[in-house]
Amino acid sequence: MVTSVPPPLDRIASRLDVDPEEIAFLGRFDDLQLELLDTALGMAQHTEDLEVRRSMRDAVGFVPAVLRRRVIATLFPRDAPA
Amino acid sequence: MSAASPARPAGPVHDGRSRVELAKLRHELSHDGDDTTLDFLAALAPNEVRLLRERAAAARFTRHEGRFARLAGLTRLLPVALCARAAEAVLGPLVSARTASVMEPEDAVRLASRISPDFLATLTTYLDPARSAAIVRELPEPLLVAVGRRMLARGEHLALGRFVGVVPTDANLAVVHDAPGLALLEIALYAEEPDALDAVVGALPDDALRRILVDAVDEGRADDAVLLLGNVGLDARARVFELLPELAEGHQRALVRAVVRRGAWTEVLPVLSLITPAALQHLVRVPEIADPALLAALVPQDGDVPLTPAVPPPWPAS
Repeated sequence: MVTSVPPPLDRIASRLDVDPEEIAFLGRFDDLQLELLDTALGMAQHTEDLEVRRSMRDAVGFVPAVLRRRVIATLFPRDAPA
Repeated sequence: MSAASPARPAGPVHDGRSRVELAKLRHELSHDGDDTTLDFLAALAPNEVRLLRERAAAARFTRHEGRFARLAGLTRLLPVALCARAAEAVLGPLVSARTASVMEPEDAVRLASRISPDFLATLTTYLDPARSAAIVRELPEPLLVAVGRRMLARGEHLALGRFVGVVPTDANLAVVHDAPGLALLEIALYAEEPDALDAVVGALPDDALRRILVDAVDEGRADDAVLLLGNVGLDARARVFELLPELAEGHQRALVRAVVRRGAWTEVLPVLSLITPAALQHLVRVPEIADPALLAALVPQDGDVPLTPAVPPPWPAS
């Protein structure tokens, strides 16, 4: 099955969580340039995703064992995404 | 798709502001000021680059806001000293900055007092001034100054500039009072609150303003000095033109050339009625200004030209 990739402007809008019309001014750039912007935004988000997950995991290991269960319950409640 | 937004004014000054906004976008995305990948975005209007940066920052923050809130919840669970150690040892500056943004200001202030100024200086480069304003305003001035001076020493001019509007004027002045001219120039260029910048520039001694102008020329940044004129109010601009005669001829002419090159007349012309007659006389005798073609283009075509280019330059002909 072939899946279609959204145009870069739509991907950028999705990353920025905005309506594509709001960033229509980017339409003056070609697809290669928009791909560069999309990649930069994606890398920034990816870096932050990793850093947030690492820091939460390490925070659990950092606290004294006696507090660890409560820290886990605070950081990773059952109804929250990991 | 349209090629340009209708509100986009053209011109070199405008391009300079886009470069400033682009530097902030780069900083937001990668903290790598040398990355040239996104240089093509300098073709956008400044407000368009700014919108990209603000949306990118908001999207990144929202993505993990719940996690930051849960991390902030640890401050109510753990002793403050342990939280401070955890921030430095395991959370790191990025996550600590994001977490601070969702904390109650009094909790964040209590925590900040236990964190080393060195780490706070790194953390601040990731901090969103708008989200952290309530915290920064509650921090004791000695701590603000200690952190600001560390950032200055590390060349974090962009981050310092973004906080000019959040940090009280006295603390800003204490940080930058003996800063090199180029550092002052960059901090001022990156400032986001014109009123706050005006208050700081207004309180800077003449010597500091002179350092900005001289260093800008010496470092090939005269265009940025002109760009700065548009970021400050009329009084500060007038002080610049009052100081101009005190500079060496080469510096004067380089700055005036930059004004001409960038077409910064909307920044300069309103100031001419505010400066002393002596400073005005001096300015119009700078050869770059005393160009008849330039004056003809600037002065209304009513024949009543108050600035005469026939006056000789203020220094001996070489």
